[in-house]
Amino acid sequence: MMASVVIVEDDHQIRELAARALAGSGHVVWSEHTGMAGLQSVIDNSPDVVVLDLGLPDVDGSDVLRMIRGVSQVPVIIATARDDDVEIVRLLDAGADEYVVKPYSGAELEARVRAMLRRSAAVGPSNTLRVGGIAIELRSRTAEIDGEALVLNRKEFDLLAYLATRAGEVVSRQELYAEVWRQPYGGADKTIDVHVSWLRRKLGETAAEPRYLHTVRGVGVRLVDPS
Amino acid sequence: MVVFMAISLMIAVSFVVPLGFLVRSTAEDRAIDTGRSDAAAVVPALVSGSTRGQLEAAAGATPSGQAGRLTVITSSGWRIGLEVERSERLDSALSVGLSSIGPVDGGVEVVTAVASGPGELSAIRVFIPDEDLRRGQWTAWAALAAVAVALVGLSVLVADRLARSIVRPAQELAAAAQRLGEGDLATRVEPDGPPELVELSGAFNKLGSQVSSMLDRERELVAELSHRLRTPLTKLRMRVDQVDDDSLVEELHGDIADVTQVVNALIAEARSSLSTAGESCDAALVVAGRVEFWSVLAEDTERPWSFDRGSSPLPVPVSTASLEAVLDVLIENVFAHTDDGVCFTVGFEGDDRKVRIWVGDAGGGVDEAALTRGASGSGSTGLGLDIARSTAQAVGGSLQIAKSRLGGSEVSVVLPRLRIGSFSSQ
Repeated sequence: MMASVVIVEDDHQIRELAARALAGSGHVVWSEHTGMAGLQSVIDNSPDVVVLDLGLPDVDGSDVLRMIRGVSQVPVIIATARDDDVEIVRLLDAGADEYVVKPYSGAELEARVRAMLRRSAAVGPSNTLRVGGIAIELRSRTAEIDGEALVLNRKEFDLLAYLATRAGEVVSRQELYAEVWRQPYGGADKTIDVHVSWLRRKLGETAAEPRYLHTVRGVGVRLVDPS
Repeated sequence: MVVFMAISLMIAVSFVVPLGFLVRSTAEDRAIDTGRSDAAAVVPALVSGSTRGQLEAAAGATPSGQAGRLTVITSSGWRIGLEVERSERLDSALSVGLSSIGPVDGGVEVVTAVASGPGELSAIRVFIPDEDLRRGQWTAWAALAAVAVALVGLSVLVADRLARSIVRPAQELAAAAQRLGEGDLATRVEPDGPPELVELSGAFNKLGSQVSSMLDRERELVAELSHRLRTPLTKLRMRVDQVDDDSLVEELHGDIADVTQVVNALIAEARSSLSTAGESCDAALVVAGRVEFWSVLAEDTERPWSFDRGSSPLPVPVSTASLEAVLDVLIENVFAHTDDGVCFTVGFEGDDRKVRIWVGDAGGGVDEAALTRGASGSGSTGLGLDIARSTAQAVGGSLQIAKSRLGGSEVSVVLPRLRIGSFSSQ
């Protein structure tokens, strides 16, 4: 999937290496080293994805993000050195769609861009994912089922949104751990299971009689349209 | 307190002894004055040439006369009242008209010389016995002694209260200093006692705050520097992708992963120290919250479970996030290491000094030898329990593994209990 990407990064070596990695995968890349130049590039080139570093010399990355949101709904991946919950929530609330924590590799950055494009393709211009009666509004991070609002915590929302982009497919625990929890999979972790249980309960179903959320023993989890 | 007692005793003695002498002297003066006035009452009858009968009536009208202690003797030799031994004082009175007072056997005699007629001198002698001289003295002395004893007792009581008001805050300050020395940087004292101690307590609290904020600043700096290291590491990771030699790439990636792990550990360490320093939570609330969180998975995996609630609240010196992480490790172990359908129990109890939280199961049990070694590795029981153990040990608690009454293993975390009202803002 070829796409156009704007990279805003002040470190010229990282900027060049990232541009090279993305261009090597067939993407068209514009790279800028200041926040204002990056904003201009987003306006001029209307990219498919923006990779935005936070530590910029002229304007703070969070402010650039807000300015981008003022003029465009383009998916933004934030490159950050901080991976604590408070920081991640702050960025997502400020309008980021995805984040990648330093130190990342060219392959990881490319994978995030691909995932972002896949998600954009799944949601279309409305930014809403739909699976049966479930509607997930990615920008406002809200979800509802059959018109009723779902009260989900951050991980439950991320889990549901990720499964919805892969609706109908069995998603492995390893993949969920890497994509939603951003951690290496340990093999005996029950964190995913307990979150799946909570999500299932909030969707109004049970493990014995699942409708949307199906656990495939020993493989993973699948979100399906029951109709 | 002994010093206070000695001082108050000295004060009591210094005023009670002179007062005692004063009381005795006053009693003697009063008795002698009575004797003098009795003698004076007879003088008019004696100088007016009264008959013997009139003179006896006048003497008998006085208290000394009634008691038979008044005698009138003239220089011509006649006498009224009891016969008395002629003393030098009597002789002086009758010969040269000298009045005097002086001691005699069993008391004091008051001799008053009177010119009873032309060329005739008479002497009125009033005998005052010792008992009259000491009358009221013992009662007054007893009252004085009682006042002295009461004064000493009162001063001891005041001294005790005063000492307590100094000693207690000083002891609390010493205990707080000991806790600070042992690493409890959140410890503070309530300023109390004399102004010097209040000032010292304030300085101590300020010192504790400064040490905490200095350490926090240092940890923030470590975290910040570690975050900054992630940018050159990113550069390095991306550069490695440019290398053609696959085996070299693999080696370099391994090296970068090692450095990244060290940086991550540094950040995590600095962050956890920042977040837990001086924090506390209600263990009862946290345990209940985590039991509720995991109960849905228990339901989905058909595991019967029970929750043994102790009394609450149970304040412990661990942040909510840290205790939640410990509980998650303990409960997750049950799900990870026992089959679906196996029952488990969670509980907590506390006394004045400590809080025990336990998670037991009916599974096959955990390999205790491996746990003791602190075996680690992603996803293994050892790693999670290592984290739980270090969280408990960081605040002076412990982690214990025993056989559960359900048949499997039971992991307990023991934490020191804080006093109620010492919750920190979260």
